[in-house]
Amino acid sequence: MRSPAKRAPRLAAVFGALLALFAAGGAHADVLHRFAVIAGNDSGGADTRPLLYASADASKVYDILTRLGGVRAEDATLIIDGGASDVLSALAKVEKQAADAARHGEHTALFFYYSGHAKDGALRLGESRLPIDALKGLVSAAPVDVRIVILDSCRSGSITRSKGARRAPAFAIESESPRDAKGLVILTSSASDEDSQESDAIGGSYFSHHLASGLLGGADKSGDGQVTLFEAYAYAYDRTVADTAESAAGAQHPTFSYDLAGNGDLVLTDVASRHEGVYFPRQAPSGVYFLVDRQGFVAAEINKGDGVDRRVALSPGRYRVKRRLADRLRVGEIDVPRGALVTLEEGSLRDAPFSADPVKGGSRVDLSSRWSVGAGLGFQSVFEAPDGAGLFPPTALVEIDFALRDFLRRDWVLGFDLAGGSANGVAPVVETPFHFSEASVAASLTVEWPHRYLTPFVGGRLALLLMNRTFEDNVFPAQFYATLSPGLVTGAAYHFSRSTSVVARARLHYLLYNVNGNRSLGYWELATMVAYDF
Amino acid sequence: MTGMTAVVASCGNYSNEDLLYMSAVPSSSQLAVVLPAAATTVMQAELAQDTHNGIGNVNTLLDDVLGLVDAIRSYEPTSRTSSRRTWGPFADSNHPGWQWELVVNRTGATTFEYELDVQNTVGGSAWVGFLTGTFDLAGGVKQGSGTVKADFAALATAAFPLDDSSRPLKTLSITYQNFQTPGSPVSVTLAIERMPDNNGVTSVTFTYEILADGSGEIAFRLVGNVIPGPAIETLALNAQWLAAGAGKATLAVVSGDGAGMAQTECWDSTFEATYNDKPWSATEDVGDASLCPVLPSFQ
Repeated sequence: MRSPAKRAPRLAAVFGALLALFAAGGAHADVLHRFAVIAGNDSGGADTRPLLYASADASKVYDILTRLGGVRAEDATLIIDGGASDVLSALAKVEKQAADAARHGEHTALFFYYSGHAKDGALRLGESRLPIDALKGLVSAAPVDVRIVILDSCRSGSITRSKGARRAPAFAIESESPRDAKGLVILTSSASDEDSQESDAIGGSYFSHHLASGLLGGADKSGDGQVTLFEAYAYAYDRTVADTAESAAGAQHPTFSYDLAGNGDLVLTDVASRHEGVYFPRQAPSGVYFLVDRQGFVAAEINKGDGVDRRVALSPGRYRVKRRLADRLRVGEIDVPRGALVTLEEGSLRDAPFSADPVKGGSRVDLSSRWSVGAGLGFQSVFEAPDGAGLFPPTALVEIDFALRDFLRRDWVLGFDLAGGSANGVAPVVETPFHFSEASVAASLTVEWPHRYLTPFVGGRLALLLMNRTFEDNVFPAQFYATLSPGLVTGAAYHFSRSTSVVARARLHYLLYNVNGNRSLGYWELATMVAYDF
Repeated sequence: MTGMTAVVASCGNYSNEDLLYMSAVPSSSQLAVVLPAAATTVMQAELAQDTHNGIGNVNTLLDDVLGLVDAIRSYEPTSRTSSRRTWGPFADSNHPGWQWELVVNRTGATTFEYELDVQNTVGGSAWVGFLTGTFDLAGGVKQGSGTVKADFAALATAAFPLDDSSRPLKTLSITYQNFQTPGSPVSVTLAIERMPDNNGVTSVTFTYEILADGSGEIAFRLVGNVIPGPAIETLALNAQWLAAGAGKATLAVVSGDGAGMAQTECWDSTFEATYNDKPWSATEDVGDASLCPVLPSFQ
């Protein structure tokens, strides 16, 4: 195991050399056409324990690179819970795009980020494997000027959850600069004999969390509003080592391998141009500030020095702020409107005991599970089988859904829904108009696959249907029917903001009709609704 | 699917087939005669009033007979087979110790037969048929034709506690067609056999026809010793009207004492007499025949 003490001199030498490069070449953010392939997978196959935050970490990095990193959305690919073939396809696509860009005289850069399991010399993407050597070969051969590979992978853990399940053989990346890969940078979350750890308290892996915080502005040591590759790494390194030093799994030391071959330092994010987020003025007290989002996760963790200012390019929203002192906390709230840089005033914070820590942590259920509610309109139609013709008319429904996410298991959704509607029909044979009404209450269990914008889902549902009809002029007595109806549900939610989404959903149900002997009918439903996540 | 069926609970009476079986038995409202509403005028024509009164009596009788069926079929059928629906037995809350059962059988693709029976539960006697009927929905359930026969004499024989108005009745026979289609011609014939009443009436025949335009005709035929004298008379009251209410009626002594005598009366849409020719009471004559409305042809 490498120790921080041994690592420090080497880092100093690296930074010395890079500063010289930087002075000579300057940062090239504005001339680079940037591409990104970002993958996260919580599953590493049958012999690994599922991770909790790998996908979330990947989504966070994707958000930062496309929002602040100069990567256009059409040049970025986010792969959540995908396989090795998805990664290879994305790299092939970038290769083609980069070649086209190069033909137009553009300088190009490729960011590859992976968060998930890695073992036995391969990234573990679900049941599939992607050998590290093959990945390095592909990235090295990509027709781009700069290649940046960031791997957040490893093993084990106890109080804090670590990535991976068993020790040995270690996941190793050569930290020395390969001679055949000009313009190649590789960052890993831990050394070759270390675990990479996740934390419930911060809702992600330590390394990705601090890397993200750095890219949001925390790492802008120069104070020029731009975060370079080396600033980001140095920040992530320091904070990761500090946070994991006392963990049971031991300190975790990120590694850095580079060969920029005259490209100088590289600006990764430009937080100044965004002019949106939180501004820490020079006079703000020094210390580590936690900015906590609505779900209780740390959106950014900023180590502010004395007499320096910091910009943190957070997304619009409401955040709780915490700074930890020796005997108490300083806490408060701050709203970040869209397009506004809000200054954090020390006077807006108040003293609070440690028990009022807004960073939850500890309980997975408290952190993960959340309610959402949705309302919308649907349409239901019973299949017009010969035996069922004219029984139940097509009906418009008003629906209300309640969903508890990540309660039973991550990405499982326990849902409850209510619906009601009415329609007019004509009873065949007797040619009598009737008014039909229906109410339903149901429970469902679905599995969803969250992506940045789109979350598809599929599952099962059990509905209690209560149907009634009354006849014009009461020529016949009212009739009713009640039944339990099992079915399948599928659909997708499109997230157009952090908390709000539009859901399109289809259901297919079995309907037992047994008034005049058993008949197996069925019905389908289509619905669209607006959902809000609490 | 069988396994799935076993775990799925369902209940209810939601059935198109039940509606068809219910339709085989007419309700009292479906056969009730509906005339243009009588205007409240002190000068209402005599025969128009007689017509309204006669129809009121007929509708009351239909209510008495078919109202029982209406009450029974407001419940979910007690049992169902592929060709039968059974309602009951239901205890008769108005007549303790008696119970009713309605059975409707489908006898063909378009034909139904039904029977409403009553049983004395105290004595354990056999079921007694009270109401029997047929229905043929050929041409559509609302344009079908049917028959209904109520056997009051059988109830009396079984010692069923009939009320005062039903006790003199022997049988009520009804034939009907197109009884449910608004705007379509409707035809209902009703015949009552009974013990002689105070006027010696032993049978009443009633025919009712409504044309699609709302105009209609009613014909009553009574047999009894209504006019003082030795002979048994047959009296006929024929009334016809337009949808707006104006009409004409003729009361004739077809046979018996006074045979050949006839009264003709016409009225306007307010039911006030515009013409009255009453040979046996000339002082009541008014107007002339030219004031009578022009009526369509009836069957």
